[in-house]
Amino acid sequence: MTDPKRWSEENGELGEGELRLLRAGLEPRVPRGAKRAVWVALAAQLPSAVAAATTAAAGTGAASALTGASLVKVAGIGLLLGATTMTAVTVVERHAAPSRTAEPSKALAIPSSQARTPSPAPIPVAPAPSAQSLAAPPAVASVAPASPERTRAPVDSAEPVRTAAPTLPAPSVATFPDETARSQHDAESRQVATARSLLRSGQPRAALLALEEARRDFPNGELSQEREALAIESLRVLGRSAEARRRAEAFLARYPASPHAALARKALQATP
Amino acid sequence: MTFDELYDRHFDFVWKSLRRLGVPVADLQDVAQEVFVVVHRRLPDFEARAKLTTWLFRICLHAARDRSRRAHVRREVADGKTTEGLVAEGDDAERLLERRDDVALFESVLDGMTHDQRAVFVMFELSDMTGEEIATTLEIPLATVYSRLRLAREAFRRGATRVLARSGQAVLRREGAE
Repeated sequence: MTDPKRWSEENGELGEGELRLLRAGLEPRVPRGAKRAVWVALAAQLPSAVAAATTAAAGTGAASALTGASLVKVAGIGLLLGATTMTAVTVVERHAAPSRTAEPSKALAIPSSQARTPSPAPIPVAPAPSAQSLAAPPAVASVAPASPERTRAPVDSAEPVRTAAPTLPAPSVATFPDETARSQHDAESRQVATARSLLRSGQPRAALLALEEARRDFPNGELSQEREALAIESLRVLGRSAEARRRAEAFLARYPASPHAALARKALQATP
Repeated sequence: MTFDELYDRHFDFVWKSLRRLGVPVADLQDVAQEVFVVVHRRLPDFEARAKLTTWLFRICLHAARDRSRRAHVRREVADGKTTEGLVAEGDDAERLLERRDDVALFESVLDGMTHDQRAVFVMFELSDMTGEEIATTLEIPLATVYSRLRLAREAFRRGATRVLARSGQAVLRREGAE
């Protein structure tokens, strides 16, 4: 028995609306602050002895992650969280209950690249976070250490969460004869940008869905070359070599001088 | 892999899996915490030959089921229509609303499936797991995986048709009222 093709791999299998819904289900949407808030709750709930046993059993010497500096950072989380949003505060309040019963003798280190980077500024030593200190708004706002950016921030940092209306996209440089064309171009750009971002964040299948959606919406769109190049790259990343190769060849035959031709050539070189 | 490394790498996977398995937004933080407590306890016994995400998904599945059974004690805290986490680069307000609607519609379609169908659908279509991995995770025969997937897909199509029609009518009504 072999697996059926996934819907996200089958062009034309789904209707336009179904495709849109499936893609909505694929998109990442972990709220900022959630990762840190759950970690704080865990740090309060899990006894340190268990944490030490786990790291020792894993045999990777992660005790270094439980350094004093990291512990100090955890102690400062109350301040950091307080500086984010009301949502984050609500979250911590809801998790305050277990911390009252558990022994918050030692906190876990922050599991992030941030925790492994040198602290840019000393954070004052504070007592282990209590329900009160976490829930209460900070008297003094603490500056969050900058964490190195990946494609998307892997750890929700203490950057303020945008609760107001999101920022508008930068105005397009190109000029258009009428508003319809401009709005179509913007919509197409957004779809392709979404696909690019999905691909870069390691979600090639979701990227393919976004590109398929863009193809349906704008079959003769201005960004059709970039769209196809991204699709080829997504296929290559997914390991669908034959399809990637076929489309790369067709792309190069049609657009030999395209600025995206390099991506297609890369796909050809990478596939046997 | 240490617990903190696992948490760092797989928190998003756990969060999204729980949401896709139908854990309400209001309960996600609690259930994610429960999952990682279990992970923390069982990590020393985890056998490296098993796929980590499969193992994690299984724990998520149990946690989601437990939560569903305890649904009557749900807190009325969160707003299920929160737009948090939906914000992406370059979004404008209109697009954000559209996406929020799509996510809500998608989730309502999944809510129309049985728990078993939903689990298989999520694992196969959204989490990229193979039929064999699903069979191992759920401890069911491969043929049963395929049969549940077929039923889940039928349910998805039916549900999508229904919610999209309803959503289209709502848009028409809004436009008519303006």
